[in-house]
Amino acid sequence: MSDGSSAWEKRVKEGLFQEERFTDEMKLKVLEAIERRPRRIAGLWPRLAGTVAACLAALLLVVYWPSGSVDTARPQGAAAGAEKALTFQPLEARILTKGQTIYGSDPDILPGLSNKYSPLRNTGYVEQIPLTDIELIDKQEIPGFGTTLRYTLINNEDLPKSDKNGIIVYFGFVIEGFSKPGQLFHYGFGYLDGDDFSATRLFGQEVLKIDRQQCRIDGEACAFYVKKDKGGVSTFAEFDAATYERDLDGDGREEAIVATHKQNQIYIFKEEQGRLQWASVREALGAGNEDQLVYDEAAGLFEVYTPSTEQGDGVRIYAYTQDNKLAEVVQ
Amino acid sequence: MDSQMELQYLAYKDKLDKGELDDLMTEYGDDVRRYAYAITKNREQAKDIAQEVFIRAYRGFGSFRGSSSVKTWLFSITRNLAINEMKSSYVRRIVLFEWVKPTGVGESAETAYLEEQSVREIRAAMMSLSVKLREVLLLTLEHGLTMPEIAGLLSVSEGTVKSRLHRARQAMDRKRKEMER
Repeated sequence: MSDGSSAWEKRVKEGLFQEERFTDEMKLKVLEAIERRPRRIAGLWPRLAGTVAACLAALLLVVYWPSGSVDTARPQGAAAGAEKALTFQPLEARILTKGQTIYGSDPDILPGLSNKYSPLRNTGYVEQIPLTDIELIDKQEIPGFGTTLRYTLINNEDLPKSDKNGIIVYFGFVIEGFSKPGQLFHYGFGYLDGDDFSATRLFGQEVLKIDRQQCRIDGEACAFYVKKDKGGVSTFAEFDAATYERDLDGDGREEAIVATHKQNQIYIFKEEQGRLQWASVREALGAGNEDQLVYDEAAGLFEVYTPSTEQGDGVRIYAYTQDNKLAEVVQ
Repeated sequence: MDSQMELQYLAYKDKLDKGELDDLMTEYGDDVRRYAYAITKNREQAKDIAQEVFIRAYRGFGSFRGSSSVKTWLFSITRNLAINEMKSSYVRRIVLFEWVKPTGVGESAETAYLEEQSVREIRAAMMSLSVKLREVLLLTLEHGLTMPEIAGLLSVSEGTVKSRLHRARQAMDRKRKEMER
């Protein structure tokens, strides 16, 4: 071994990544996780029967509600218990703009929510490229939105060098009335197996939702919302957690209900003139660390499971009211 | 008897209690996080992976039977998680092109912590190696694993480990010389 190599080997043996430490905070998170996760369902199952029955009853109310679609109908008639007010406040977060990079080391915008920037995007319109520049792998019709395409790029001197690797699978759209003749919106790259595409509405806007249940190593899902308007196609919003759209307050604009895996938070987001307002369901309900929050997407209900206590049945169910409160559904 | 040897008694247990998990994290947490970082080259991913390793170790402790050291067993969990994460990171990036982190930006951000020039260069050289070469070098030098342990961890023969180690050392020597010019 030469002197040169012995010098670098000595330094490697001493540790090149000293700042990568397993901190006390990380230890605490692990200990909290092992406390919480196994209890999620197993310990509560005997009490779930009542909850399931209540949810079914609520669902029936939703389905047979006199007017409105499933999205706008709420099981308010079933909510007759205590009410908890939700406090909405402006989201203090940077807006991602074109050319900016998201760094993993940036702080999360809210506890448990992995977004580093505001979920609303301002990254501009997606570029269009000629259909002759792609080799199509497959395509999928999304009723109400357009056609999604998966493809590789054929060499083109006009494309950035990093785009010339033919093994990269890209993803884009053709939308009648929006795409230029013979062109497609060239959106991004990545395998999309397992993703769920659907046309839906968010914050009063028609959008394409790309829903990915297995998105991050920390167990989070994520949802992308893509919109189209006269200018073309652009990313409207992205949430780094399981996200649902529902017009909770009946104002005709769908809120985003965001349920995180980390810290088991549920946030409700409203959009007003390009700014987001948020409220914490965990905070509003005064849920403790041991309480498990669940959003029942089908019924539009918020549920709190409490590990067995001397007093109670351990399950509380809440419905959203038009005046931004959560009213307990009496079982 | 050092603390790592003391922890080998865990091979005779079916499950861990929280105190023992805490001991494991104290003893091996830094190593696990650094190994995850060596594979992923991403601090946040490495942090998440390191935490998940100990959650899985706690839940799946019955699968540890002492055929390897505790450290090697934890490293095998780390490696599986890190490789899966790297695959899913690629999958995850449905992003506009302007969001994609340009090559080299992460590196310059990471190197901002490092004050010492030589360490920065060694580190840059190390991280520029392929993951196969970087992994055997760090497992040997920084983590002190033996040849059979590394072979077991990577599911390759000892001959392959030796070959990779040789090539890794050659590559590091070459890169260090280039940097000195």
